[in-house]
Amino acid sequence: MTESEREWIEAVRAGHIERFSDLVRRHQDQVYRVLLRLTRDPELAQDLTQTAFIRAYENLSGFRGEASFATWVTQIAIHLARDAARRGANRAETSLEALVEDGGNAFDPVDEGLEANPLERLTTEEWVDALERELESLPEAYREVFVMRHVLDLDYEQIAAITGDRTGALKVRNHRARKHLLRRIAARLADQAPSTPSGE
Amino acid sequence: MDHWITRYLDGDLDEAETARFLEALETDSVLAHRLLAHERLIAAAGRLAEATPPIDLTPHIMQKVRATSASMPRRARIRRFGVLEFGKGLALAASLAIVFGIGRWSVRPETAPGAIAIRGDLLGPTILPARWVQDPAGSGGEAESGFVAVRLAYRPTDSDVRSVSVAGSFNGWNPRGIPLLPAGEVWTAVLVLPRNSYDYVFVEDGQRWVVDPHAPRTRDDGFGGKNAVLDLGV
Repeated sequence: MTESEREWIEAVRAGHIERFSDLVRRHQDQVYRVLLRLTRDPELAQDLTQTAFIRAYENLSGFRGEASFATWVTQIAIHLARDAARRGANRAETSLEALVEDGGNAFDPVDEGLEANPLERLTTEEWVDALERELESLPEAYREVFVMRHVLDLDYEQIAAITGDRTGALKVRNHRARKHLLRRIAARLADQAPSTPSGE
Repeated sequence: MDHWITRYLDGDLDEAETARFLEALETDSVLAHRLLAHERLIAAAGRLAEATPPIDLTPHIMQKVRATSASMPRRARIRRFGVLEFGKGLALAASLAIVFGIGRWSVRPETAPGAIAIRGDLLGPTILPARWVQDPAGSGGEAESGFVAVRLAYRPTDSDVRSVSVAGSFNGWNPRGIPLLPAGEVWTAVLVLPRNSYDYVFVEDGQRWVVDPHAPRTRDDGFGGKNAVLDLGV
């Protein structure tokens, strides 16, 4: 945590409530992005971003500063996204068990011997569209680590501080998430062009 | 194959392994295709980060924060902290306890040595008699000022602990702010604080945060853990 953030937090604790806006401005993008990718609903992401910062404000007296404020408020946001998912609106379609079973070599987006892999024909925009569409097929624990690692660009130590998991477990989970997403995207491509080998 | 891709993407290959992996990419088209698929997926994920929140999000949040603040119970504002000077008669007491207070309020020099009489096995927080708090300005006022003296006593489970301090909402969670002093196995400090409710933890050797096992109450720290709670007559 930066020195300026410590000062802002102290100022808020001392009653200077407006200094909290400095913390909001600095971290709202990250909080909003993680919530947007986890909920896939801009309006809900906005609501939950507000709730995350209000929770942070309410609990500021108990914030010890062992981890950064960013870690703390992102953790609050993740919990809010989980709660929202449990309320039923954003439940993932794929079970955790299905991904665990896929942990071996079930996925192979590349058909050996194919010179032009169908995935490689996708443009950058098509990759982004496909990923946005398929993210929701990931169970939340996998989606969380994928989003934090590759969307927010957090390292595994930072993610571990947020989720409480070990970095090794997070790496495995993230790898499985990537494989799952690639398989889904490849399968969709195969459905769209039945004559094109998908590599499955 | 996946194992190598994962380790490469996670930066877990050492220099020699990286060289071998890159060499393999030259000759193994399947490996190269797979790596490319992962890399393009990661690049696409990076593009998702370009989403920005609505421009008026900060004012909206602050509006709600202000409303939340107005509805929260009024708390005494703590603006200034400092370690008090020990009075003449406190030399002996100081060997058992560090006295920490706010502003001019302190523990009465003539009564504070009585701290020695506190049972060493009485662990956790103990609120001291009001007569122990004095106003050095000479008013003779006692704790009706709204200040309370509380003794914290802690016995580490590990006898090799070399320092203990207390960090809490009263000192900005500074882990080195208020040291406790040892008397046998028990470490103690006396704090003089405005009447309020505070969160605190003990910090062993400047790095291990320990919730006071004898605190009468704890509460969630909002971070998956607990803080001990010091209720000083709110």
